[in-house]
Amino acid sequence: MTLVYIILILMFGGLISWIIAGKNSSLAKGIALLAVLADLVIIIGFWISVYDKFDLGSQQWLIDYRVEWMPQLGISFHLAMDGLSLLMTALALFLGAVSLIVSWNEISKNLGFYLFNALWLIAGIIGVFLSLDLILFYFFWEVMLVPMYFILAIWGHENRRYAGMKFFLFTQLSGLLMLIAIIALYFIHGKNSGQYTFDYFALIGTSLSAKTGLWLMCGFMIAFLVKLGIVPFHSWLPDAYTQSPTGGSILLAALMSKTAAYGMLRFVVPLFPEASKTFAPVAITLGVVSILYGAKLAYAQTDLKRMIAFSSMSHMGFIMVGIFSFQALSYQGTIIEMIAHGISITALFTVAGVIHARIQTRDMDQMGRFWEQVPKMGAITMIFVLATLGLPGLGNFVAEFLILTGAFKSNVTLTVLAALGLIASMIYALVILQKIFHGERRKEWKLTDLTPREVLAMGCLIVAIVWIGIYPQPVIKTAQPTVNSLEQNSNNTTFVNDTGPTNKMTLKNGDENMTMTRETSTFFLSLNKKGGGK
Amino acid sequence: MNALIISAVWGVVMMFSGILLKQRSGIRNLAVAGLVLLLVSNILEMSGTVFFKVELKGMIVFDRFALFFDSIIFASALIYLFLSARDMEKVGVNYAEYFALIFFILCGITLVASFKSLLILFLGIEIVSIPLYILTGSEKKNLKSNEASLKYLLLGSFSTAIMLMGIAFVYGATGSFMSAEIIASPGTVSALLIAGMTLLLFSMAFKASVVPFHFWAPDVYDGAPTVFASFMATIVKAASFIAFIRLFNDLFGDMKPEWQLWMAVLTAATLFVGNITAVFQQSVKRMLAYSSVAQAGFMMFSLYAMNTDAVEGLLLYVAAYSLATIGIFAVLNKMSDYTFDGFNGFAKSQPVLAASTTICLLSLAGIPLTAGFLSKFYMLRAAIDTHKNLWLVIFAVVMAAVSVYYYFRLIQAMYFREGNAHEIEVTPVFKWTMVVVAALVILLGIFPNLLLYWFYF
Repeated sequence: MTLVYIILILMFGGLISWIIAGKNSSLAKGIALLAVLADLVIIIGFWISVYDKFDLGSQQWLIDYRVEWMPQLGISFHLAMDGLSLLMTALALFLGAVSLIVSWNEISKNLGFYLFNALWLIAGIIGVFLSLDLILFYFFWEVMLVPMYFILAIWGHENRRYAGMKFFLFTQLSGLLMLIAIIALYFIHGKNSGQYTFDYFALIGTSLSAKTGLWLMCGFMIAFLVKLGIVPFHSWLPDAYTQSPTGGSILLAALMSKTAAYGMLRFVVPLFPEASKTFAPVAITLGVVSILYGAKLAYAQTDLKRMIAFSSMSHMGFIMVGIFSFQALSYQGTIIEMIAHGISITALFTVAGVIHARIQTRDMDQMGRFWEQVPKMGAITMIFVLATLGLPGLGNFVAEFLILTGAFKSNVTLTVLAALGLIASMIYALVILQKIFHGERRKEWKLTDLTPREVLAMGCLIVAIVWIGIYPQPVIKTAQPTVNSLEQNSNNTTFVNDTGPTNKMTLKNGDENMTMTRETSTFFLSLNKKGGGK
Repeated sequence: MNALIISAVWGVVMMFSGILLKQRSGIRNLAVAGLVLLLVSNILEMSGTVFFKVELKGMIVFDRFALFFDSIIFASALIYLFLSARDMEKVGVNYAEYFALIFFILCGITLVASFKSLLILFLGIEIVSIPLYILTGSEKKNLKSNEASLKYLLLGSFSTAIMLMGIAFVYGATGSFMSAEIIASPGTVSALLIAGMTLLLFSMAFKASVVPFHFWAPDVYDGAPTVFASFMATIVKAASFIAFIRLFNDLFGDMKPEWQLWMAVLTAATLFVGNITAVFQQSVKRMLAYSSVAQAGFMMFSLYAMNTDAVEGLLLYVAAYSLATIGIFAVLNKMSDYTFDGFNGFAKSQPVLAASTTICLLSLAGIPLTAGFLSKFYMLRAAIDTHKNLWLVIFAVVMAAVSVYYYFRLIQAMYFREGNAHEIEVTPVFKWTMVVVAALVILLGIFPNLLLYWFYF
């Protein structure tokens, strides 16, 4: 029931703050924040209580809650949590709280409705992370859209209506194609086994012919690729990210894009192991193209938020590379990337929002030499710019390092190309710092430095990103059971396309990979012991 | 049987009430009372209490499907009266007659929902159509209303003639009007029977405004007084679909291979034309007219698939679509400006109505947690279950995404555009009924069993 409560607290919190916002706006904001923080406390308490259970070889699922919903259709209300969804839920609540804090004074028009949408959006995102019935998953997947659309189209910047409509149409259409794939999978499974159900555990073993599997997987993939903003499905992304209010950009870039990555890990790889193997070269290529193309576009922008949007797209490419390398290391890297990127993009969008609130423009050509006036803002921005470009000691480095190490095993050429993305990211990330905080002064601005509220929010983010960068062990340990089962899953399937001599190669690669995994695990485990863990 | 007789009698009662009752509120209350009586007696019949025992020689059979459908229709009509009965005063002076005609239409609907003989089908369709011709032209001084009425009458008669021709062919091929005997007729399928079936298909497609027989619909809905356009686009359209599905399930069920591809093509064409044309409309009323064509495309899925899912899904679809469309039309009817711009800033002046309308629009667009999503889900499921023509399903989904555009345009106008939507006067009853409609749309979207349970109990 805990999982149901987590979602219900958010939904009721949203409703209550909507109702009372007309009378007392600060109380409404307080209640909204309190609802998110209460959930965060619940989830962290739960994490601590089960932390010892995440040893190698333990069972994957921590909570499993299932009631019948529409039995004649085979739809159940099935929520469950494993290490991965635990991490993602905690991330969603943490960044959700930060997004509320940083946009505390930004929204004045129709505040109650904004809080309602923000909380329902977070609830929808958490629902996606927790649901294990495919129709329930689709429900939450779509429930995210409507509040996001409202946030974007009501409180966004100058071009908000266009961006909102584009965002909605792209995601709605791709979601519907996923729905077709879900229903088709349901019938194929029903026909094979006689049991018509949308339950994840039942569907996971469905045997599909190579061709059908590929088509169904494409149905899922298109929804996830669009939401992740991978080339060539990215055209909605810069508009939506740029036009959202700060809180909306954070929720969109830091959390909603992660639902897509989560969907690939949770659904695409386990449900279609063979098809995803076939698709892997295409997926990794798309990922690499996104990394490089996103970085190139980011470099060319003068609009600060648009630049951050393209940098986000570039990082999402790493997630694609990580998932479709099918290596334990790269899975771990992907999960850390989801968290680290969520944190760093939140910080960058916050900086953009803070600057915009003070000088009413996002045009970097009008900024310059801000450090003199706002040293605190400059220093904090520097930390996250360094995180974005992958400085060791900060979260993104660990993530991208693990992804590339893992991916190197499965595809050398593409991994080398992806690694070039690190250099590219250095260029555009430093441009942010250079253009805004150093360089020549182009215009006289009167700036005020960060308020204590903003410093508090950024402080939390700094602690989180440094923690992940220096001591990622808790995350790795929590995700380990999920990664194990993912790896088992891909090892169990035979390589359909491989024949004769190449077979040997694969085997050898597989062996090397396993020793590698063990080494790294022991490396981090020893860290754990030295760090004074239990 | 209860509903059939009571609705006919109440139609006559309403006719005389115009002479006997001087107060318009009295007439209105009498109509509401009649409809409640209809609904209650119909539900009683579902649980086995039949007031009138008449020997029908098997020409009309009130089975569970028909009774259940009638209940949905009467409930929708009741909501329609609560929302729109007051607005009929604006149309013309013959206030009582409008109610009388509506009751006659309901009488016709009970016939088409439960026919077992082609003659009854014809009778029912005519009883529904003729009062509609009058209602369409009821705004006597308005040229557009007259034009619409004439257009509707001419094209409607034409399609009725085609239907009669089809019935004659079927009679010629099988020697009977009764569906039981037509199914049982031995031998191979004759060309004559197929010709008859095709003619019936065309005429029913006309009544249900399926492309390419839809040309009358937008013009008629646009020209007719808005209150009656709402009635035609929802309740009457639902009735024609029920007749359609009964006809092809009962009579021509065995000939499915002959007509399934036809249905697929008609479905695709309806979805395409309805959705694409709706995108370009500037008037909300015309947008709703084309949206009703587009939604008919989704209802066509039930005919195309024709399995248990499809029939169940159609009932849910009818309820979801009627509720949402009646709600939006009722709000539209209060506006002085029917263009999208007329709704600018509506959310500020009428927050409750705007929120309810938004939920109705979300339902029509098929967003989850609304009844509209679940009914579309049923239709897609039914279609995928046929295991062929997957292109049709994918096409439908693309078109559903297109429909989001024009439904959301109205939401955009209400919420995101500054403007002075004219102050409109609404009664508390109207406001609360709209809230109830919105609540029902969401409730059905989460617990469809609330409705479908009655179908099975």
